[in-house]
Amino acid sequence: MAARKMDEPKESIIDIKGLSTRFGSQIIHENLSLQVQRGEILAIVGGSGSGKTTLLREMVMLQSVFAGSIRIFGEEIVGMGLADKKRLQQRWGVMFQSGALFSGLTVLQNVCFPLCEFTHLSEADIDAIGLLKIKLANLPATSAHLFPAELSGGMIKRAAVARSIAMDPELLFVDEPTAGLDPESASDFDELVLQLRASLGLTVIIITHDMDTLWRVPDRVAFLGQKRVLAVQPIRELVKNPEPLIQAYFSTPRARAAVPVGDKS
Amino acid sequence: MSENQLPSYELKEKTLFFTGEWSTLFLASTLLQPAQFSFASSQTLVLNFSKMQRLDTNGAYLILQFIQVLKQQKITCDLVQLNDEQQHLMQLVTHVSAEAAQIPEEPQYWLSSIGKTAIEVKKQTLLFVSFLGEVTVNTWVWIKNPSRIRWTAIFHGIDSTGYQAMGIVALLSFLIGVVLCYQMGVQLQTYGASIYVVDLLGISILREFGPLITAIIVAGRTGSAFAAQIGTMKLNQEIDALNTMGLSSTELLILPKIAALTVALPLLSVLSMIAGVFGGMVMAKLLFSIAYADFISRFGSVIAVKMIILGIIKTPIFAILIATVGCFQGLQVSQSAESVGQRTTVSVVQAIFMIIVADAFFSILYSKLGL
Repeated sequence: MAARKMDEPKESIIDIKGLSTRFGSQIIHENLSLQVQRGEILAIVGGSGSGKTTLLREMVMLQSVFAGSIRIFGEEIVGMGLADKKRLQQRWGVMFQSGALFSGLTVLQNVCFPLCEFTHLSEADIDAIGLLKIKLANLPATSAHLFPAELSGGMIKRAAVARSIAMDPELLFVDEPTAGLDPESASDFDELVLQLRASLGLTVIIITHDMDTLWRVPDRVAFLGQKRVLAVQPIRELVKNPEPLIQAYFSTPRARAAVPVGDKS
Repeated sequence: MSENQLPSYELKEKTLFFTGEWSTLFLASTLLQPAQFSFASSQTLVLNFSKMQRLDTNGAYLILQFIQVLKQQKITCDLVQLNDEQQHLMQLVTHVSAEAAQIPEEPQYWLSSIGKTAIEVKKQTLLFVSFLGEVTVNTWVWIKNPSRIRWTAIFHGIDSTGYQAMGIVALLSFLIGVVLCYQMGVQLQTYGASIYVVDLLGISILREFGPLITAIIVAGRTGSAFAAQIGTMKLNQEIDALNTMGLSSTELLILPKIAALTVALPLLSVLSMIAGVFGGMVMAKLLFSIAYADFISRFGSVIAVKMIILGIIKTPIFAILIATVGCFQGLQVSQSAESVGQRTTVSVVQAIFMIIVADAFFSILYSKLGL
């Protein structure tokens, strides 16, 4: 799988240029640029208030942009019409920080929801596909008929992943997937993201604070600071970046503790 | 990017060529049905993937279903010319769907659903009784120890449930007064007894309509707000947070609401009576030419003070009903946003039901007492 990706010419699935975001007089992003290649896992990190979640919300068109351009799948999404927007939104999945599962629906109904809305498949096929996605997200099939309130934190995240891949998206946005999980569930989740990329060929954008995830999962890490992207590098190179903000971020004891043994200097 | 092509297939002899994009949005269950073909039993069918433009898990699932149905008809399928990705997806889906056993849902029988409802009603009744007990115990704590009374919360409650409701209560009561005066006045006019409209208006508005209309407006406006507010706090675990701090959510959240409404509703009822009678007075002048001075002097001579008292006495009872039902339903919210909506609806329906039952009870009581 990985070999096949290498042969293809690198194609930008997301291309952000000169992006500015303002809330009133408050400037969040100024002239921000970022490219994401097809098939890669990109993590976005940065201190609190550096506009990570805002950037994600802009990419999935939940938030309007002050100036600049965002191209996804080669199409400009800034100022996009409603019909195009709907068509494009079916090609990506979003997993929200708290899961955002519909509380009145069971896990299976949650997963099947987009399939029921957008496809011409029969009910039986949709249920079977829903179960398949639940299994792909490493949830036990017995959880299919449970309601979100009956799930543990880790299961909610996995159910949210199952819903976000229901439509077989090409692109997956994940906001803080491991926040609030125990180390084992968090590590399982890292594994799940890698596994999904390998099996479904997904491009994944992850926002995270989790140092272990950063070392394990992404191909490249984009560091947000001073209202723009300060660096996009593999984590091994990023931690050696001399930029003071980046050094401050990675020199805390918690960040150091996550460094794999082989990389400790 | 090339134009999207709908998923399809071509059958050439014993080979099925898949064409187009086999991805979720273009798929339909009717796309690939074994019934569309007439294969001889125990033959081998070749599935050729060379012309397929795109495949995703959902497409792979449909093809796999097709293969499995054919297998039951003793037709074996050979998959040829898959690229690595397609090979991988087919394997993944085969592997996972083998594991994904269907979980049968519990069948629903009407008899068992009646039983479940009955048990639920019994449970709710017991819970309501225990809630009333808790409210009573906490009220007793306040009475014994007045320094614990949450005056700020109570005044805030009076402001939001009483002061801010004045406009809507006055307007609706005024309109009710207008309507009553018109309906009764027209009947009385045929007997040339228009002036008696004052008696009828006075008695009906002061004894019945004022308190009842106010209580119904407040049940819709405030009872629902109580249920939604407490329900959302319950979902957000705020109630749990209070209880773990060693504080009583009943004392902090619910008693102030009940107390505030018990003060606000009688006051609103007085406003409603004034507005209703005023509405009737305006209408009497316009339609039946009863001068304001005549209306007021007759009102003073025929309407006894006890009418107001009999009307007002009912309102604290209504207030307690509205507030306890609203708060109780809020506390019954569990798990989902849907249940907030459901409980809010139930709180209004139950409150209005209980208000009308209580009003009927008061009517019987008053008539037995000869009031």
